[in-house]
Amino acid sequence: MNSIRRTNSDVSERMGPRSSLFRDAMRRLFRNKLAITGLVIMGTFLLTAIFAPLIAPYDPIKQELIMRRRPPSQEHALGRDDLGRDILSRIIFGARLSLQVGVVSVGFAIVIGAVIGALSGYAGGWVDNIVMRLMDIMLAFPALLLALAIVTILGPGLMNMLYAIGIVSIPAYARIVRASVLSVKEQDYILAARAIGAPPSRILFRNVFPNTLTPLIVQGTLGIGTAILDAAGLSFLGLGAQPPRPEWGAMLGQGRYAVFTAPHIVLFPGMAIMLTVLGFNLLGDGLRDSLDPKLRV
Amino acid sequence: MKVRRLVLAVLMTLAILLSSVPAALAEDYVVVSGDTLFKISATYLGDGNRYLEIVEATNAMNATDSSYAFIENPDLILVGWKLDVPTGEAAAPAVIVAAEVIADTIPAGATAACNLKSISKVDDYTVNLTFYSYHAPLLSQLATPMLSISSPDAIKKFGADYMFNPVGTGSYKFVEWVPEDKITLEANPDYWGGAPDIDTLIYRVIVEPTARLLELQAGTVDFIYNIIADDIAATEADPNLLVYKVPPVNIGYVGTNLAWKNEDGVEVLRDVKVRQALRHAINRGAIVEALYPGTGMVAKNYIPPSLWGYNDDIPAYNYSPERARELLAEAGYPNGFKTELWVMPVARGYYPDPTKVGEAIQADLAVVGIDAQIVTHDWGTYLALTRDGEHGGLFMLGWMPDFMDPDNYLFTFFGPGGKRWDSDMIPDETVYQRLFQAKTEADAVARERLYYEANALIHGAALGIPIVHASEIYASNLALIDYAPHSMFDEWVDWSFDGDTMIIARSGDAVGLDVVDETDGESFYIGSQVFDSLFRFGPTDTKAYPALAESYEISEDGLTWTFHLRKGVKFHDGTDFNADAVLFNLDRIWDKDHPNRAGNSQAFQYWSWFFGGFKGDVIEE
Repeated sequence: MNSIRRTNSDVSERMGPRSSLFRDAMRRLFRNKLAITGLVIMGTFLLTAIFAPLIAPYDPIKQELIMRRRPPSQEHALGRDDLGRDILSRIIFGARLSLQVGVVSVGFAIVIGAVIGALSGYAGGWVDNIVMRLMDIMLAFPALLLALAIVTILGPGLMNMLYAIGIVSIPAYARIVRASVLSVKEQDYILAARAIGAPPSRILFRNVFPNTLTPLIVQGTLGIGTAILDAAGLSFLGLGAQPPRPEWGAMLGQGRYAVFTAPHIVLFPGMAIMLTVLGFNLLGDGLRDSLDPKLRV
Repeated sequence: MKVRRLVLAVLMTLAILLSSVPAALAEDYVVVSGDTLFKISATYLGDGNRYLEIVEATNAMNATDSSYAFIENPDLILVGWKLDVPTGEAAAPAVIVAAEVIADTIPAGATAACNLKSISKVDDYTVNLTFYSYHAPLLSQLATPMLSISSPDAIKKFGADYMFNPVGTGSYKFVEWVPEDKITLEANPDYWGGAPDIDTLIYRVIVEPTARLLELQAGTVDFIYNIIADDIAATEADPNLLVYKVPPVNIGYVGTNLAWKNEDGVEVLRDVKVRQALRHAINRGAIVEALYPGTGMVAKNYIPPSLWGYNDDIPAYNYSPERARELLAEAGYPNGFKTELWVMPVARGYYPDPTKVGEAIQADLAVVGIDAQIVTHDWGTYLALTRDGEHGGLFMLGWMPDFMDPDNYLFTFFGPGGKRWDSDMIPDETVYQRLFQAKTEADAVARERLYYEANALIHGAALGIPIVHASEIYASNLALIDYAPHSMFDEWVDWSFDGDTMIIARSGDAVGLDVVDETDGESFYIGSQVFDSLFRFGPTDTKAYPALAESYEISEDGLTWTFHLRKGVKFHDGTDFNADAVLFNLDRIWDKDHPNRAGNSQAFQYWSWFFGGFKGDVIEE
């Protein structure tokens, strides 16, 4: 009786400061200039991706061969590519693809990774041992190399690239979730939940899982940046988005012969990749600092 | 018209001698419990009373080999004894003596697919080739690396690995091949044409054209092939570099695979209207002007304008998306259709940047509603899949001629048995007939006429889309002296270089070095240094000059060609070049059952392109 009351009061005490904890976190985030920069970049990126057809001045796949390799001008702010397509429009539409790649592959990885990590951590014992050793094996491969192997097996293409990047990102999330589960599963309130007869699935998803959200958000934000970078790498090699899709990495790859003669063709897609990845990294770092004050130095 | 590959097991006129020296055949037998000599004799010799023969044979063996028993008393043998059981005289193994005449093996009454009728050795340095009908392009064909002569000993020694260990008589010896990196060749000091000036040739693989140019500028390579058109200006402006332009004799095309089926199982491209629509839909003028600035010309035929037989009188398919849409609607595809456009993974002179050309074509097709998905594979796979007919509807490929004769272009593309175009099913059989006729026509004017007509017929049937004839651009540093590019394959023995080692950068690696079974240009560039053929092209022209053959004459009826071979030539492994070597080399390609038919794919495509088929192949009417 006694212990249950204490738990209840624990929870009620928490409910109050919880919202202020969130407000705290946001306040810390907005005070962090780098994080704000990241947020602005990400916001721009998101808006660009969503409203691409409205913003883009030209059709991203419309070729005008006679005008190929024209440098930036008033009509074409970033110039034209090797086939006379407007680079600005291609970058704008490319944001859509990158967003798609980032969100889908990381979403995929989080869902699968979280389930694996949570089950493994909660079950413990030999299940945990086997699953985590499998994850260790996957982590032992350089991510891009593993993704390359997967795409080679599945065949080139946007969807296959999404699967590949998703699959190689699974272990990171599985480990994060497992670590959180391990740290909370012996807590008193879990014992309490068990004591009142809550089924393991309820305990896992209602009581344990929310504790893993903070690290998942941080890792997910950073992960989107990495996923975009990996996708650009695969597309550069011709294994990702297929022509004529305006994928940033593919634009770099196809423009590489022009690096000395018409550098604008590779410069701007490269900058787009760099800025976006930078944005996600800055925001991810900022989120980690503000959501998890214990990590602050 | 279909060609059936008929192989007769009996080689009709091949001289097979059966040795008549009888050899005694015997079996070893180890005595087990319960054996008697009578029982063994009954089992193995068919008669128990012949047991004394076993005693005699075993004792005779014991005299030289003590593992056999010595039988003192025929009634006493012990378990474990080894006996020699003379099971009788058997036919000696057949000994095949080198044939003096190797002849075709088609059944009586059939028409041979392969024009070659027989190869014969007149003496050690004279060879006759006899044909069913006059074989017009023979000398040029015998000057290509596709009919080069290898050391028979090396082929037998290396077997399936011969493609990695080529041994010829050429001006350079093969030293080492590091796949995807470099191939090293060293000068052959005993070369019959005089030792080369350049001691060592290193062919490096540098895939990226920009990287090739950078390495040339940095001085880490001496010569580079295939500069892209956009880099020509910068290269020409560099005072330390020399730029070379090859006349545009190649052809880059988009092929149509007539056997390709769309998702509804319809052979869309079988309809001539669809193919004509493709020709109207692709804006070749714009593509060539933009992507081949100063180096390309729009192709109308599959042969270049500089070659005899070119047909300039046919009306070009003008760029007209409207007309293309009309034709598609008439064919029943008002909204276009979905197909695949296969794009080469490697750069070639005719397609210095295949993906870009592919994308431009894709965009043009999209305008008329044809949704062409770009598909690519690594080069070896790409060639194999397109060869075997396992590709999509449209495919980009091109051709560097091996000798300047329309036969080398047209027969290769549209000759028999090709699955790339599904050429056995070419709608207008008359194309096919003309190509065959022209191969065997002795009169030059008549040949030209036949090719002129064939070009018009191909044009009318709209088979594929010829896109471009492009000049290839090479560059070197100043150490290379007075070089001029060959329109076929460079032979470095022809040129001088200020230095001992010349490093040459190419865009791709060789596929295999048993070059008679290759179709890949990178392999032929190496093969041209290592091997000689009976003839060779001049350093700057495409006439056939004597090489391993010193002279030739043709019989009155035009069917038998006699070749007098060069004496005293040795292969790099020290063995002699002679008539036997020539017979061996030709027969191992010609005869599909030859035990030394190593090669790479065993397809020996060039042979069938050159002669129409293999030994025993017949044309089924």
